[in-house]
Amino acid sequence: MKESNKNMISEGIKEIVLARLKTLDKDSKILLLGFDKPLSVKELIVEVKNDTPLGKKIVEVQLKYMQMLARGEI
Amino acid sequence: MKEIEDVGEYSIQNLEGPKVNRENFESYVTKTKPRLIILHGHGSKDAVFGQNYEVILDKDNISLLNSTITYAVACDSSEQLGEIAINTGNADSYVGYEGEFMVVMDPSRSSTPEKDKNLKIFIQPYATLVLSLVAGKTVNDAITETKEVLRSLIRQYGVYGIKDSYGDAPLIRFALYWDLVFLKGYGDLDSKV
Repeated sequence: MKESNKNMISEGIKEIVLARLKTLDKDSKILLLGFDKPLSVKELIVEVKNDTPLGKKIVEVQLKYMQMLARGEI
Repeated sequence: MKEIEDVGEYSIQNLEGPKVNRENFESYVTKTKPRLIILHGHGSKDAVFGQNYEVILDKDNISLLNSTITYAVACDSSEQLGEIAINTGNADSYVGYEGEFMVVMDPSRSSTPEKDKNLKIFIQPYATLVLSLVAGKTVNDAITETKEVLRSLIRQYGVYGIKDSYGDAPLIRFALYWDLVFLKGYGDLDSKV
């Protein structure tokens, strides 16, 4: 697959993940062991937008989750 | 811990709080030679931390895990430490998380986490794995049961109308699935306590 197509798909998936995160209460908090303080949904959105290591993991997990839902595995 | 003690067959050594430093950890494990080690704290890809972020387990003392089953709720530690534990430390098996262990908090309970109903949800899969191992199930069966508990909770929090005062159900589902994806076992998964 051409690199440009791959990037488009990646950006598309990222946008879907961002759209899903934006439906959540922005002030809800998650605690990730290893982080000094809890992160809000607002902060998770920033991580995804900025392609940080955590942001990329969030996209990866969300994509797997959506695929699992689509296959009826949950 | 109380449930395990009630079984009456196990001796529990608990190291927590300020006592969790490298010296004490090494001393406890060396003296008591436990079959099952449960680590709960901060971690990195190749280390587990104790109090004040002191490294209590890494490749230099990984032989402490010789012939043990270790369950580490320490983020990322499964990624490299799991393999090091098996290949270098001669652990029978190592169960951990390849990413950060994620829980959802109720911000209004930040000063009283013991009253946080969101946090309690995540104790269920944690306890399932520990109790499955203590009950004599193989590591593989314990992981399988834990993943089924996680799936069951994900389905439960996907039901329309679930009691969800703060609208946290979607985030809870996400966190549960996150933990499901990253839970992994290494070594002899047929090993038992």
